Amino acid sequence: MEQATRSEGGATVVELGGDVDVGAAQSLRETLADALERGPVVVDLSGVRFIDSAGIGLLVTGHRRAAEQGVGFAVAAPSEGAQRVLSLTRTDRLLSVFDSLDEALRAVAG
Amino acid sequence: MTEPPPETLALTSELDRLGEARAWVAAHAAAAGFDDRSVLDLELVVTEAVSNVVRHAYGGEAGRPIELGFASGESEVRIRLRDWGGPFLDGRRARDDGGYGLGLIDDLVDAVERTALDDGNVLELTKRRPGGRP
Repeated sequence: MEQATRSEGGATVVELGGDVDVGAAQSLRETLADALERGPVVVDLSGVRFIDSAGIGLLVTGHRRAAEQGVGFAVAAPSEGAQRVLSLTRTDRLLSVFDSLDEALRAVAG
Repeated sequence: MTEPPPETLALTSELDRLGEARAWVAAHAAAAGFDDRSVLDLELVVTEAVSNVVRHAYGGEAGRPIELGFASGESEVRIRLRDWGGPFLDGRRARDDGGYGLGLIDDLVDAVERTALDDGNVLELTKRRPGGRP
């Protein structure tokens, strides 16, 4: 899994790539926790080839923590493979998922 | 017609070897004629199954053996996962992923058979080949 974090539009964008699986979960858990301490978070899944249930579980945990903290949390531009697993787990109905990064940034900034 | 013998991959119980298991299954599934989405589905199934073995049958202990098998039949492929760990109900105890692994394996293949042996567990997954009859 590749991950990069940057500030954009008043939010922290966590850009993920490659394979997001349980082996990478600890690193992603820490990244999301750190990002949420700074405010709104957008997780960009456009470069994700594969994601498993552990990766999905971390997105849901991030969504819940953000709600508790009263900050925005969104998922942006899921790749075909990521969208497939979001649909299979029905978490696309729970998470705030946007087709583009710009839409997601606008949503969390609002 | 006699089916060819299954191919096997010997793994050990480290989560950072999941990518190796995925790549191996993906290569066999693509060779069996599955499309990209079905290949990705089988990668997901194998990832969930192997991670369940590592976390539950072996309790996270590294270096324990896992044997992955892939057999192509005329109308279906079969994936077999053998471990020598403790008894567990695959997927049913995997709550630490938020519960989202529950059902994924069952949803994405056509048949699932779980067998508890005296010295471990066997998970056998069957998926119809493209155009294969039910």
